[in-house]
Amino acid sequence: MYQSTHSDNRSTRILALQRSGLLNRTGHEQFGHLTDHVRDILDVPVAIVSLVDEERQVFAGHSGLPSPWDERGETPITHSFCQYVVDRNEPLEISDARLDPLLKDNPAIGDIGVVAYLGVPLELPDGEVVGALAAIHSEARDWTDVDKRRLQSIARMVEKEMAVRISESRWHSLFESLQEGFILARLVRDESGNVIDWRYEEVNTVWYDLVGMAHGSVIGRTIREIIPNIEDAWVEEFAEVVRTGTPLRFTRQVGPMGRWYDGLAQSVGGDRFTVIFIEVTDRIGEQRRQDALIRFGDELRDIKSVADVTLAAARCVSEGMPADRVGFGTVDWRSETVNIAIDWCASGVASIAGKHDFRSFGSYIEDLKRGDTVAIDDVTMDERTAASADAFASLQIGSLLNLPVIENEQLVLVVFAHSRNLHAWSDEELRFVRQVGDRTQAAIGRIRAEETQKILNGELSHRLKNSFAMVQAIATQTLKGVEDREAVNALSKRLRALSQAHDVLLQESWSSARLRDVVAAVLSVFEVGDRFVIKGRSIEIGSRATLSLSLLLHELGTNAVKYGALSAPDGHVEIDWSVKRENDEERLYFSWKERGGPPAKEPEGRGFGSRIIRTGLIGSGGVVLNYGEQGFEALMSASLSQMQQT
Amino acid sequence: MLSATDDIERDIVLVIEDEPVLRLEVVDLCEEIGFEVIEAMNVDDAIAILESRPDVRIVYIDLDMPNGVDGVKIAAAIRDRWPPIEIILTASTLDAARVRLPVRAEFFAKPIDHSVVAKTMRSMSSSI
Repeated sequence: MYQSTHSDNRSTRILALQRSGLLNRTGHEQFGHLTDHVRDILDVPVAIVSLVDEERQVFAGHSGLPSPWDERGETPITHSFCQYVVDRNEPLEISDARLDPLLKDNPAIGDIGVVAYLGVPLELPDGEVVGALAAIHSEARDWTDVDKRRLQSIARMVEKEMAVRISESRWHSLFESLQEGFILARLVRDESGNVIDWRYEEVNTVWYDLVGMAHGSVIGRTIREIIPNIEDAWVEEFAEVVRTGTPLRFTRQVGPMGRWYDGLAQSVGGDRFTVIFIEVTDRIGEQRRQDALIRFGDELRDIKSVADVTLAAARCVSEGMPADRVGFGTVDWRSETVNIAIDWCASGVASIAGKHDFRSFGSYIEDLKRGDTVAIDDVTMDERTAASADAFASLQIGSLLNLPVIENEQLVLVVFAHSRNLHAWSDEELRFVRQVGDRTQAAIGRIRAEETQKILNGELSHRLKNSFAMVQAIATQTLKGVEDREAVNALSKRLRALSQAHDVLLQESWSSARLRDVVAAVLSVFEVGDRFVIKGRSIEIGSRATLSLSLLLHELGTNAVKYGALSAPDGHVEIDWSVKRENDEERLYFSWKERGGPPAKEPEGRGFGSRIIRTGLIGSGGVVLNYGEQGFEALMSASLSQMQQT
Repeated sequence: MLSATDDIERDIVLVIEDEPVLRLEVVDLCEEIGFEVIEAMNVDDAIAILESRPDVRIVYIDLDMPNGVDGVKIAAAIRDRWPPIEIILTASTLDAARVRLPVRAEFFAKPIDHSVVAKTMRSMSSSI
């Protein structure tokens, strides 16, 4: 009857009981001290804290139970008086069960010797009644009000302890369900009180996974026992947390394990502290690789030699990879040897600088020759290297990574990373190394192309200058008998102006030149120093304009020295230019203004010089010439895009 | 013999230039401004001449000469062995700044400016 009316409540409370964690506790005597107390106060031989589950009642505490029940710690539900306390949610007082209509057939009377029974309900903090505290006598007994009051008050103590246990177990299960690792630890101090280590008191299951250790193997041991070479900061910083009480957020590596952790350490009183953390090795690794690549890219921009490219590549690998030896070597593909010029080694790892024979280390050179990156997680297991395991062991190589650098289809360089401990190279790490490799190859290609270009340019310039010299020499010889020496000189000077223009062009690989450089170079031959006042800002002009402008400037300069401002001691020439937008087109305006010399006079003849001047900046006009009192002026303009044609 | 018969004692320029057209040009230039010229086709000849002619005043060397001889080193050697001799260097090298000159030498990029070279030679001559 009770069961039918209370069936809903029943399932709710059983769920609540199971969730409370009280049933999971293995210690049967959780509340034994309180049942002892009941026995003494009520003067009964047996007392129990019974938790009423579905098909059984579990004793969370008991005193004086006969064998075998004391060892079992539970009975089938059939033997339970307490279930009626729970179902009714009120005390049950039985003086003699043998006479009670409800209980007279209960097997507990015969099996356990329950005759007199006084039970009071036990509530969880949320109000669910889950069990009973009961005093039991093997003889009939009338229970007094005092008995009942006393039992009630002990029941309140049981409930309070139940609440504490539940709260503890809730926290515990919270830690167990965390994705983060959790540590409760206590500092270890030496005799003079200095913190030298700390001891694990509790960790959650995730901790073992994050740290990679066998479950249950750590409690009671210290961090230095578990990771002997751990960085001192892992002790010092937590000691500081305990000393100051200030929580600490950290991102820190456990070097010996090559793993990174992000976490929070907090003091919890005394020398104890908690740490909650996650592993961020992948994230840190990704960040390191990215940073290393960015720095590598920056360095490559300024690097001019292949040796420096390789050095930067090896440094980039050492920054981005968890290796304990990184370096590079030049390969002699004929003898299949590698000469290692430089390597960076972690402490305890010896340098392997010097010459090595590839074939002493297995067959993976074949892959390198093809330009394939070689990544071997375990040299003793890989078929390319297993036979040479001893050779690798002598060089402290457990895992290796080799990045080939190919030039003209030959293997010329190898960048390598080694790890003593076995390291499974991840896809991200391999991608990183291939990126370093690609950039290295590209940079070397660029440098080789620049070198070739430079040699070609130098050779071209050399031949061109010699040709100019020859032309000048032939002209001088040919015109030996000519009376007009001035004309002969003018020819030489024009040749040299053209030659100067080629010099300026060469500096920018023949494609363009800076206008300012062209002006300065051509006018420098007149050796009048700062009497040419050059004002314009530098802009790029093309090779065609460079040549025509050079001849033009030479004629203007020659005239200025002969007849114009520079023929007078205080005269000077102002040279200026600017770019203006006009009818959707950018135009270059160039002005040549002579000042401080004699008044300008228009020349009478139409010689080469004045004709060149009239053709303008790019030979297509756009010239205004003023012969004023102040001095000669040439105002010229041309389309900027035409000026910039190469 | 030369010094005994000539009324005017002319300074001697040794021109080391393997390119005939360029050599002609320099020889003409030197003679026009009053120098006596000895020609050498290569460095070995030049050294032999210098050893037999202590009266050479100026050496004119084209650094672009082939056969792998470093003209600048030759110039340095001349400066070392015959300290009083003045040295003029020419080359198609881009700029004078890149040529590391031995002490006391003048450099002119090709093609040379006759008037400037002439001026320099005259000043070397009068600096005795």
